[in-house]
Amino acid sequence: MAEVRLKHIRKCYGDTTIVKDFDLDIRDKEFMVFVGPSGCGKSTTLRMIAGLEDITGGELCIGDRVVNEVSPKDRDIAMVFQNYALYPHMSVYENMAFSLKLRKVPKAEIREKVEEAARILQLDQLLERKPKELSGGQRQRVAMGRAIVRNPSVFLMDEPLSNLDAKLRVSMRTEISRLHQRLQTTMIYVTHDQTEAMTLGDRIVVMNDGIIQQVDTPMNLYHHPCNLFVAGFIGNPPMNFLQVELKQQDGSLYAVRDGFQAQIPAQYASQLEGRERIILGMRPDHVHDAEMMLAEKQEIVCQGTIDVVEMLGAESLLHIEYGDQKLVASMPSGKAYKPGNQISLVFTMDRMHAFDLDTARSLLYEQD
Amino acid sequence: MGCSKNKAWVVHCLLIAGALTMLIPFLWMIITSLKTLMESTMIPPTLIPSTCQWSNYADVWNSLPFAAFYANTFGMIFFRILGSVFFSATAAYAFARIEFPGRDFLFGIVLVTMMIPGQLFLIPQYDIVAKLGMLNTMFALVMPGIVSAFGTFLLRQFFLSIPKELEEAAILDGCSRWQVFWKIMLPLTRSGLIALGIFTALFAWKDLMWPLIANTSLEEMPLASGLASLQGQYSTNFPQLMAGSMIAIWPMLLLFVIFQKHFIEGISGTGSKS
Repeated sequence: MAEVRLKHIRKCYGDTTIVKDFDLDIRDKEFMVFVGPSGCGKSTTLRMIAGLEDITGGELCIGDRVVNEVSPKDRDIAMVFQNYALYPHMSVYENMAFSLKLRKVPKAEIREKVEEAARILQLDQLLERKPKELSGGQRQRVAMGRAIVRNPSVFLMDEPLSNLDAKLRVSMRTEISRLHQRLQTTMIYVTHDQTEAMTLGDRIVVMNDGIIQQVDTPMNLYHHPCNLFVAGFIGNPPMNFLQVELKQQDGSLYAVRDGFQAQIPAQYASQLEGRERIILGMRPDHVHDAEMMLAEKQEIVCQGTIDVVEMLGAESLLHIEYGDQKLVASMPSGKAYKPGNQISLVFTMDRMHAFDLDTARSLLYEQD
Repeated sequence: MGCSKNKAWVVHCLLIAGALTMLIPFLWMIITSLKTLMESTMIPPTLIPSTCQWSNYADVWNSLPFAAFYANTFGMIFFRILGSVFFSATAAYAFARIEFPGRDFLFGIVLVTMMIPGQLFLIPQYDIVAKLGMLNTMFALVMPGIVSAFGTFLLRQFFLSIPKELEEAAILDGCSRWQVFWKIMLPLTRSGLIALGIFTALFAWKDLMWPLIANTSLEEMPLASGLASLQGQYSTNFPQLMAGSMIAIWPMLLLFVIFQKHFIEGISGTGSKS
């Protein structure tokens, strides 16, 4: 068991810096997820932890050791690759036993460990098969089994589910979660899929352009994003953004633009005092049809035209055009919405987000 | 439907015509090996020998040291395969997977050597072997064939087609660079290694010029150059030459029949994407 500390880690290829000043402490037994768009440096960071990429600058510690110059095999880590990387010429048993054989572990002990891992992952019946005779999910489990038998201090997983179909991905996600609870080992998991990140991670690192944007629990990332990027990246469908002016009227603060007016709740007004313009953020879940909210007597903030209706079963996503702006609203299914219809919208302003126009940082939530 | 059936017919006819064209010289060799010397040079030529001269085979077997020819040929093929597979595989792995300064330039030089006619190497090779005092030895037969630019190119393509993650997984599992090569990469290029082995055997078997220059003693010659001694300056006993060729050809035929699949894979593998 070990904690992983990345101190001001940097990775450059020639003049191009891929990972910039990556500073992070991963706690012992923590499930940490790196998430971000393609090319944001998350896999490169994972590969630096694995020792598959040299570290240009900074210090990497696993447990009490600085491992910058330690070879991958001596870092006490195991990695699961996106394409599984199973040795095609070896059986499932041989794949799982390979690393132990190299470490000259006695045969009886190898058998015991492999069979134990196979039992955990329900691979008992497949030990004599070659990887080509397995399904995608089974291959994925073998790849995890290969990592488990080594009993490493840290598990690294590089988008391990992205080659699976949607249904299998959901079930494997649960498997991984269960595995983490059972093994109680530090796990670092890279994905570009925010659902995976939100469901698996104890904490999530959101990255963009090689920079950590925010490190937090899934709930905090969702409810308290520290900047515009995190607010837009976490949450599906993404948050709506509106550039608004702030105006004082009758002792209250209002967010205003053409055909749009919403009162800023008192608890946020003090934080926004003195600002003239902000970017207002509102999740689709908090944009409502005024007709459905009559009982709550909330103020209509704007009117728009329904452009597209996406039926998702329990809810419908409305893509609404309001002036030159597009908004997405998530409505409970029950009312039939039709493209071209006018709709009056109300916002749950208690759940609003506000971002600085220049720095894109949140004006309401700061990261710890 | 009818159109595609007609198309298949045309393709099959063309393929059969091509196969027959390739077979005719072979059939002619068999027919000639059973003719008398006079019958073999008759104009117009006869298609079927009047009487089958099986004695041609006995005569040629007794007139030349075929046992030594076979031993030399198999020895040469064995050591050339061993050398070319080992050196080509190690070089190809380095060119495909190890980052080092000047790698691509050096690989370019290896490729360039494939474009230089082999005859240009004969004099320096002879000079080296002569200075080593190794003329008329097995070493002389084997030496030029133990490294192969073609083999390096062929196996590099195979190595490039193996996902890099396999190598990385092996490194994380605890393999040294040599173990990655030996335990992971080499077994995965098995068909490429077999193809290279077959190619090397084929090139060695039909190599005429170099063995003829390096080994002038009949006892040290392989089959191809030994058979060439049947060709006189003014006259050639064609039936005996063809009978000798028939005796010489069977090991290669056998090799092709056994390894046909790998042979084809090897050729198609040279065009695999990197």
